[in-house]
Amino acid sequence: MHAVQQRENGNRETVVVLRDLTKIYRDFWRRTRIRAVQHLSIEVSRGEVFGLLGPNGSGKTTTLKMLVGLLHPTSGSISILGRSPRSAATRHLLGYLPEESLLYPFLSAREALDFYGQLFDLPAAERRRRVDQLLEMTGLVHVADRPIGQYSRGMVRRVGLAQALINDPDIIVLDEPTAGMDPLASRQVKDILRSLADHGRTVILSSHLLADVEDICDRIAVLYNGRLRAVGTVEELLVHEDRFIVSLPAADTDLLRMITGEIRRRMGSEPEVSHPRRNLEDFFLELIRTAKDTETADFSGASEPGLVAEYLSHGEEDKHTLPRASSRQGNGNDNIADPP
Amino acid sequence: MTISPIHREDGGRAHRPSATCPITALMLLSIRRSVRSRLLLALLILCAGTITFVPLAIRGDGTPEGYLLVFVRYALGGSMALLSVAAIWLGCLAIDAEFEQGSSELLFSKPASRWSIWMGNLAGAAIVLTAVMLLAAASVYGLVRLRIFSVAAEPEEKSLLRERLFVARRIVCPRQEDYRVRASRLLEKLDRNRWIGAGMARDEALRMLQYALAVRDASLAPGQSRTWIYDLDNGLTGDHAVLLKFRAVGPTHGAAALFLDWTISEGLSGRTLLEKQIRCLPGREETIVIPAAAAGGVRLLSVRCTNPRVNRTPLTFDPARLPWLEIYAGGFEANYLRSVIILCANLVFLCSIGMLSGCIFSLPTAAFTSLWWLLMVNLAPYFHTMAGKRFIFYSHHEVKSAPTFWDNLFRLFFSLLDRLFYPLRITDPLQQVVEAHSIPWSQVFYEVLFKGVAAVLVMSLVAALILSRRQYIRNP
Repeated sequence: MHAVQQRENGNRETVVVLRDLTKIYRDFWRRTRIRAVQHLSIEVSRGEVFGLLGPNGSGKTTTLKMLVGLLHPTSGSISILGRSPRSAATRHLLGYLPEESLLYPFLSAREALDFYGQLFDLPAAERRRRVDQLLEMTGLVHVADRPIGQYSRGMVRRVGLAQALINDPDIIVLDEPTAGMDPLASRQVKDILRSLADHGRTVILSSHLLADVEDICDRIAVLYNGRLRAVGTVEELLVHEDRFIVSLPAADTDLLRMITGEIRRRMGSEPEVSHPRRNLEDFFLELIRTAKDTETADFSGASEPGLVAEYLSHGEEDKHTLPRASSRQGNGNDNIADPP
Repeated sequence: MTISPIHREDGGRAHRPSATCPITALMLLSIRRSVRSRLLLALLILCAGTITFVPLAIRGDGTPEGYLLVFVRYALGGSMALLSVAAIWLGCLAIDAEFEQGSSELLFSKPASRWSIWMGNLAGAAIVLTAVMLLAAASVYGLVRLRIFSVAAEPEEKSLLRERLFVARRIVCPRQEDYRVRASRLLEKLDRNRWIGAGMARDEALRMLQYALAVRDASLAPGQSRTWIYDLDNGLTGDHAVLLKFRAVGPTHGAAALFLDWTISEGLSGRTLLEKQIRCLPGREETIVIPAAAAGGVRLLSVRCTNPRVNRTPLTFDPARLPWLEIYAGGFEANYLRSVIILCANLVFLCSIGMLSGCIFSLPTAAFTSLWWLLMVNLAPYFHTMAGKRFIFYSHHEVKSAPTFWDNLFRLFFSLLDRLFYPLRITDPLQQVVEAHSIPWSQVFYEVLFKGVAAVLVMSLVAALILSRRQYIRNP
């Protein structure tokens, strides 16, 4: 049954559909141990960069593992291009980077990429070409023949990203893609992902780095305690709905001056004239705090504050120690060719 | 820098990845792992050590047969024991290490089927183990030739060794009479005369009568003779001597020697080929050599044994092991190669047992389970014997007329074990090589096709099913 749907608003093909997805980890006696994901429904369109946000134990990694067929949902359904994620034909169109890049330490980067290419049944010449391109893209050409066991964590992460792209996948699933990378490498990875999306590839990622998510994601979903708390575009989620913005044409400066003068006269202060926008980090923290106040975390590890939440509860000056990415506009990597 | 796209028919949606490519990839990966983790080196060193030190530790009796026994049976057998444990360990590690180290998460997210992942890993481990086994077998063969031929100085002695030791012989047993008809008639007669006890089951009485008749036919009173006929199919070529072997026992297992007169003649014409009196010790295997020139062209051989009155005692042969012929069936090398093929098939089988256990359990449990399997397949002949017995529990104080509940229960238990493990039993082809008994190709095919292919395929399907249901959880 082909279930590829068209989104009503943008007429874009919906390639990933999660319906009422639930995952419960049970112990040997079938008793519920952890409710990792509960009634999660999400749709992702082709060419979209979709981010999953949430503190530790919120169900992000479990959701991604179910997407690539490594875990079986307890209930609900997953459709990738109208198929089950567990079919080999679906996995042929997927690229996956797990949270930890656990590659074979006795292989070199070139051998590892060639091995994963073989699993995709790529012809030898095609494999060699792709491996060379990916090694160059990830900046590993000079260490391509050294065993991965001798690499730093960031370098291993780059090899992990390269193997996720070896088959030129339609859908790329990345769990913490920039974890362990320096700011420069992180920027490069984000540029690559953005560029892939611009060329029709669908990227689904999870991250703790809110700035990264805000920088490259078209839409985000916030998970807490296994439940979906919010989903939408970054703009939609960050707008303050309880406040009004009076929008004036730029040309009508007299009217603007009159309104601001009247406000200044009546309120005694200078009004802010701009588009109001919340910070993603503030929004995220507020959402998590609300969720914590309203319910008690029973099975999830999220009852304890996660590292991200801890970080975000610090002062404003600490926030700037995280690598801030530049605007995503104009950062696309134009070197990536169009999809076939 | 340009990353070029991969062109796929139908956007890749109709793509069905082949099974061979992942199998090849995983096989090469498995070999690389063995080489780079120095496992292959360790196995080679251990086997070399076994082949070097076993002959130094077990000196043998100094005869060529003794050297063959020490080198082939003990040194190569020791290497096989070592490789059997290594096969189980490698098998357990192959899949379990993927889960323990976390690389399974990447591997199982790729389009390779679970079956091809299992088969690829097995193929790699099998190649490594087979390579080590072949190297060990080649080394032992070289040492055997070097050591044994250094004992024989003269060309005649070397020729004799080739004829006597470096051969493979097949066993021909005499035509066996079917005692069922005679036993049935006897039983009817005894029944009419009310000689059969009321408590004895009829089938049990029939079985005992058959055995009694067979023993009577295998026994010789003083002055009595017996003749056995041997069918030699296509006849003897006359290039090689034929051995007649027997083991006779007297009424008591004393050390007194017995004298037996043997007359060997052609079955059809009655032409006498050999007449010989043999002095033999009860219970010991004796050999009569029928010269090659005399045996040429014979299709039916008649062997007559007389117990001379001088012995003053009856003697008997084991009814299940009447005097047998050993006929040349090929050279040592071919026989040795067949035994090595069987050993390699057993290694693949053991490795797949380890891999199947590794799919189900974590490493220590998998290793324990595999060793238990190894024990069971080695005990399979014992289960077979026990399953064939009517009475499991014996008492010296009573004669049982019928099996008890516990006899039946344990016989059922042994029958189940026999059904399960006897087809998978681990044979010892090296013993056949040392005894110069030809290993028939049927045995090689059975071992390779049943254990190396069929059993492995069944295990691969079970493993694929288990792996497809297994979930990939690391710190959920």
